[in-house]
Amino acid sequence: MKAEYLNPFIVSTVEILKQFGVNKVEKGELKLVKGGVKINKTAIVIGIAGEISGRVIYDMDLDTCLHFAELLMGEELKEFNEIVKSAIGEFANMITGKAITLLHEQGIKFKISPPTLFTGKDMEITDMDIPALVVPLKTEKGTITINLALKEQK
Amino acid sequence: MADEYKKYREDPEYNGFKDDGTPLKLLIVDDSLAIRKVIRRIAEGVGYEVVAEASNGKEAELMYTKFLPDIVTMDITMPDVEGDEALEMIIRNDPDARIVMLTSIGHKEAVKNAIIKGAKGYIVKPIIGDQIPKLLKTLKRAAKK
Repeated sequence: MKAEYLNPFIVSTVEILKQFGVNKVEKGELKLVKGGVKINKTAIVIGIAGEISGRVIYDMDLDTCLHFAELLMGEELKEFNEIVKSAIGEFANMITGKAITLLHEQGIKFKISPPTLFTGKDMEITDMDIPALVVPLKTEKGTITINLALKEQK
Repeated sequence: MADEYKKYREDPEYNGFKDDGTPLKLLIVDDSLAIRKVIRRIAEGVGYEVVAEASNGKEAELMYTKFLPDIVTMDITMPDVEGDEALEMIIRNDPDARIVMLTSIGHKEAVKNAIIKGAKGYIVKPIIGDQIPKLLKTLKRAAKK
């Protein structure tokens, strides 16, 4: 998997967060992970299909989910309910949509699936036979970790 | 909550009223419950009557036929039947349908594709800040008079 595929996802996350007033985003250490993906309580998975295919996972803890959902809804949210789940899915969808737009402008075309949300403790997702690029993005509202596994279709 | 949008509600370029003062009928199509809630809050805040919500393209077509709204907001990435397909189906049955795409995907090809299929406008999410007046102006221009 080419490392340059990850950059549009980082740029998109930073830009979407900025639109919601979160201006300070600190990029953590980039890792190449093979095998199962350990999840930090909540994972939003979006499928990718086209000239490149695979999936992106956005991983965060429950408090971070609540904070981001509040930003999107423009209201205070206290419990992890259907609105929060939907808002956080949409948040992931907006990031991925923006990344598609950026990659499309570089000539790489693909479509995305609606977001699927997984919650649970000590979860591990084993899905792709290729290594994933994983990068945490730290913000004042919590950390969102992008986990991207893509392969080129020939 | 209505006060938040008062200035738009009072401005005929942005509000959800027809010239005779009756509310414009809006159909909201988005698979996200959260986004439907956000759109409804803004739309009702400026005067629209939200006649129905749909969470996929198939439902959108059914709701359109049932309620004949003056204007539709249409997401693209949705389960089962996607928004661009629903756009085609609705326009085929009502060539005068007024549909504005409201989606997270903003590349030129997607915009061009939607406009060719008959969309009257294209707004990229998130619906926050400057995107709110932009959305309201686009909806008002596109709505049946």
